[in-house]
Amino acid sequence: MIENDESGFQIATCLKEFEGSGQVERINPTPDNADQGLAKLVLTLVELLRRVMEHEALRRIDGGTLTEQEIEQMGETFQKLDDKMKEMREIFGLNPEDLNIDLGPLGNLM
Amino acid sequence: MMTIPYLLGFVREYEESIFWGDKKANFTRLGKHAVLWSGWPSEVFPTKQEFLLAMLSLYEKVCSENIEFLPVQSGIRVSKEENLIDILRKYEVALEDGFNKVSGCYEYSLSLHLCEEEQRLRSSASENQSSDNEIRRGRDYFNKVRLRHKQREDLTQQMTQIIGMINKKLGQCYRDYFIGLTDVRIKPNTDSNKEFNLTLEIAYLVPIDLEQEFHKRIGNLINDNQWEVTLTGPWPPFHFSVVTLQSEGYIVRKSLSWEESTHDRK
Repeated sequence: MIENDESGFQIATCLKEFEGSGQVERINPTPDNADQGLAKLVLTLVELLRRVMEHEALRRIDGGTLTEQEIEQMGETFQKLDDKMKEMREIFGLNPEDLNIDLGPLGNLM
Repeated sequence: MMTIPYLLGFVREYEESIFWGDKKANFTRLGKHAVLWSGWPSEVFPTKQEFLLAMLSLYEKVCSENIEFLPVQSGIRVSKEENLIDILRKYEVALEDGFNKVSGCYEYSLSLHLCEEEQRLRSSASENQSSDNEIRRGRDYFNKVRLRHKQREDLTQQMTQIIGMINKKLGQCYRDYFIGLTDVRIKPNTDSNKEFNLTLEIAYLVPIDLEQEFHKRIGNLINDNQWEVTLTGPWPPFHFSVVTLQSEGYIVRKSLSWEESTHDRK
């Protein structure tokens, strides 16, 4: 469940500790934004999944396959996820447009 | 220690030296094509700034001397110099097609800062901000999402119309143009009092003999519309360099199997 609690800070702490432990190579090894490397990747993937699920939810709403209660529950969950993503971005000093991956010839991921 | 080649680009029928910063770049040739390469940037340059300045000086030389040059996507390298010959052999036809496409042309990058459209976005962002505060029901969230999608669609349509108008005004002054959806940079902020940044970026492949006319028509467009325009160039044809390199392992495997199958047929 996504709740308005301290979980954002706890997740951020875990990410920083994991990247700092040396068990994984730094994703974006610069002194200025060393903390952002793994966090940026993780949050980008979460954002990608969020958009995919949002798109699917809208498709099902338009298709009339969901009850009103299910729509309400999904909407509330997505809103909480949106709030949690904003919180995580603030912790790591990331803007919404930072959550993207350059795939070279294929363009950006999102 | 063996140098791992970092690819800078391809040239056609060029024999003279090219410097990358103060380092002489290397050539590996096959026929009239050659791949320009050097060591890995972090091994050649002490700072990123020096690397970027070296790239800039390389592009200036390429454009000032009308060298036929196809840039390579940044960060491409191979494990050893011998594999460069396989690359040139594999991509011989694609390289020739690519050079023919961009021959006699430069790339120019046009950035349009769209003030009127920004005003509209700023207004709708204020409305969205207040609607964010009013989201009490789950369904309201999806209504907000739909509104955002609609705004994006409207914006894309507006951009398409603007691009069509620009290209019509430019007429025959360009051979090709490139724009991706991601080139429409929208940087909204949660605080609607802050500035938006709505910028449309288009790359044009401009024949050298039409450069002056191209500049003149861009000037006319600026005068006729309320745009802030940034025009940069000439550049090598980054967005029109159609050669896409496959993985080195694939190329080497294919070249070996070609030699084996040829031997079997004899």
